[in-house]
Amino acid sequence: MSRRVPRSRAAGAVETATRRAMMARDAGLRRIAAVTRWTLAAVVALSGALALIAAKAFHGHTVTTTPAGATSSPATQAPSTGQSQVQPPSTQLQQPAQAPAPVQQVPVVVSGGS
Amino acid sequence: MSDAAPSTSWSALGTTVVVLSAEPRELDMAAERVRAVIEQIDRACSRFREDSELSRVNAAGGSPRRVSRLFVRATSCALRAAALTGGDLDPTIGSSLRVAGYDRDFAAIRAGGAVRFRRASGWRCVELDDARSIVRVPAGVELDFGATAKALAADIAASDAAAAGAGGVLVSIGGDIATAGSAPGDGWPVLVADDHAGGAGQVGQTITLRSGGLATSSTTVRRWRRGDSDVHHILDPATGRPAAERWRTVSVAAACCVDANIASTAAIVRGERAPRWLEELALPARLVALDGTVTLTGGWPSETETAAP
Repeated sequence: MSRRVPRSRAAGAVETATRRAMMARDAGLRRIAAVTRWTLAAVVALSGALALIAAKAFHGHTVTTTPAGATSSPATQAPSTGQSQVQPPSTQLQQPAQAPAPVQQVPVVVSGGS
Repeated sequence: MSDAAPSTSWSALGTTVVVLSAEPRELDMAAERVRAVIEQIDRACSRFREDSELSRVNAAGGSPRRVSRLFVRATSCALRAAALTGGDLDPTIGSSLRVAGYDRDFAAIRAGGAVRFRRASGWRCVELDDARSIVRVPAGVELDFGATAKALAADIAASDAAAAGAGGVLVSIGGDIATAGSAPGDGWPVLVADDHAGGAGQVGQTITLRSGGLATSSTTVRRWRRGDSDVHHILDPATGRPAAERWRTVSVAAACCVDANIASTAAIVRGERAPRWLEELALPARLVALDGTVTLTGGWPSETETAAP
């Protein structure tokens, strides 16, 4: 002999189960949304940090003519690595304003190998 | 030598320094200026001083080093020379010179056993941060500014002395000549020859220089023995061996001593290709072959030309 469950009680149990399933689903969706937000924030922060590091490590600059008579101080350990590899200016070798001229005079100095 | 312009000379940088002034009263002041610049260059760029900036950069084991502005300028100058000559001059030639036996002041070099030559590391590995005055070379790479530092010193010294009121000035450092200010009326008479220390009586050509720089590179000086080989100091960076001797002496005139010296030294390394290269640059040059025949480029006066009255 089978036990009979009243109809209204059975319907209530189904409804409860459905509600619980919906709540579980909503909770899961909330967790996924939170994880997504944190992931996005982490990616943005990491990108910024990497960009900052790259900017410091590979910052560009140009070579400029340095004034004469600079002071000479001993080389010291640099605080950070200057990785910038500078291409020197590619100006051609410059001709003299006047080419040497022949002369019949006693020289004042000798230009020779040393 | 002529006594037309007062001069003074002394030994520095392993060679002879000569200073001439068109203004006799200013000679001492000019010489003091030149001495100061040479001392700065020596402290910065000498390969034979343990306390030089260059020695410290070489010994840094690949770490970056903060250096003086003068060292930055010398490095930039050497890298420019390398770029303009396609690497025929290369500041990373230091270890090649050392293993070839040029490991101390030249006067102290003695004959030695055979060596295995080593090619230059390649100038593109040198890192120069001009803005922060930082230089780095990879571990094992040794810089040498021998091809440009003396000429740079001559240019700076001549400019400094002239700017300080010395009038027309000529500075010769081992035959690398820089001028600044107004030259004497007829210009500076200069003998171009194999050896800057050979005196006015040696074979050569006397020309007059009115401005700019003049440099001579030669394989006839700074030679030593290694095993069965005769070695000279102008190495080909591509092989680390002494450059093949097509020319024994090359003299070049340019707008400054550095440019003249870059061209004259690179011409020795380039050998047969040198005259065409110098012509393309329109640089006046005199190239003396091993047998003494002379090739001229860029308007350098021929030996048979006579002086203008």
